[in-house]
Amino acid sequence: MANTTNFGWETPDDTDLVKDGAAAMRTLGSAIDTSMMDLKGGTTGQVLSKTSNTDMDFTWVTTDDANAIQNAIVDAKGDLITATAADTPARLAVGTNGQVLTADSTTATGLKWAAASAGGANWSLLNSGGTALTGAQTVTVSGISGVDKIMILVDDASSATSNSWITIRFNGDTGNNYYQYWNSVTPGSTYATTIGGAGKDAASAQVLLGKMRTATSGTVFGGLTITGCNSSGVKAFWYSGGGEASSSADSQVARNGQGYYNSASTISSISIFSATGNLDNGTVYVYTSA
Amino acid sequence: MYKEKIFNAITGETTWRDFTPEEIAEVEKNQAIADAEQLAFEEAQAKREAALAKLAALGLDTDDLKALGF
Repeated sequence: MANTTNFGWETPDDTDLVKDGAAAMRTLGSAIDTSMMDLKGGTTGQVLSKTSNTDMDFTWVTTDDANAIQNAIVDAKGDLITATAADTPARLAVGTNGQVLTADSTTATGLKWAAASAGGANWSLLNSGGTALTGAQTVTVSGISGVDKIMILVDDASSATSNSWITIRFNGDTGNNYYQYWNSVTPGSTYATTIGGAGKDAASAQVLLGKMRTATSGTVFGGLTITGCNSSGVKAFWYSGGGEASSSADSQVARNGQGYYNSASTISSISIFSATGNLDNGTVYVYTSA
Repeated sequence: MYKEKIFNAITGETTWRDFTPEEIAEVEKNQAIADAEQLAFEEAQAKREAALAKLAALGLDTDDLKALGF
C-alpha cells in the first residue's frame, strides 16, 4: 500500500485491481476529510490558530482573541497600556500638559503622571563635617564616584611653613594636565605697590588656590568647582582663593582662574596640597552633585 | 616626614601614605623658592624700615612724601 509523502494518506498501488478502486478512493477521501476537519467552520473575520503542536490541529478564532491586548482597553488620546501584574494589562489615562511619567510603586500600575521637577541636581556634602587639613603635606578626600560636579571649599587652610601655596589636584595627578587662565593680586604696603596681573598656565601640575603670607599663622581661603567629573573628556573648572589679608606689606597672593583638567579618567579623589610644610590648620569641604 | 592623609568618604576611614621620592623632590624645590621669597621680603622690609628711619631723622613721614608727589 502506498502513502502520500506529507500526510501519509493511503493510496492504491499501481498493481491493485480496478475493482478495488472505489474502496481505495473512499479510504483516501476519508483520510483527507479527517485531516482537513479543523479547517471546516469559522465565521467571517476569523483566522486559524494552532490548537496544539499536532499537525493539522487548528481552531478558528477571532482576530481580537482573548490573549491579545484588546482595542477597547484604550479610550482616549494619550492613553497608555500598562500592567497591574503579570499578564494583566491596564489603561493609564494621559496626564495634564507638562506632566511627566513617573514610577510610583504605590499606584496600581506602578506609574503616575506628575509635575516635572524644577531640574538640576541637588548638592550634598560628601565628607560630613569636612576633613581637617592637618598633619600632612597633602590631604586627600577619596571615594568620589558617579558625580558630574564637585565643589571644593577650603576654609582657613594653613601650612606650618610661611609663604606656602595651597593648591588643588585631582586623582593625585601631579602631571602637567591643568590648563588655566588666571589673574592674581599680591598686596603691597600701599595701593601703588600692589602687584596685579593675569596669565595662563598652559600645562601646570596643579591649581594654585592662594598663597599664605610670610607669617606661619597666615591662612588661605578659597573654592573650586569642576564639572564633567564623570566623563571621559576634559573637565572644566573655575576657582577663586587667596591668602588672608594682613595689615601691612606681605606676600600673600589671591588668584582667580578658569580652565580645564585634561584627563580621560573620571574624578575619584581631590587633594589639597601645601607646597611647603605640613598643613596645620583648616578644613576642606567636598560637595558633589549628579 | 612628608605624608599624604587620605580620607575615604565612602568608608569613613583615614589612611596615611609616605611621599614618593618625586613628591619629596617637588616639596624641596618649593621650599627653596619659598625661602628665597622670604629672604627677599625680609630684605625689602629692612630697606623700608631704614628709609622710614631716615625720613624720621629729617622730621618727615610718608604723608610728607605723598604731599611732594612721591
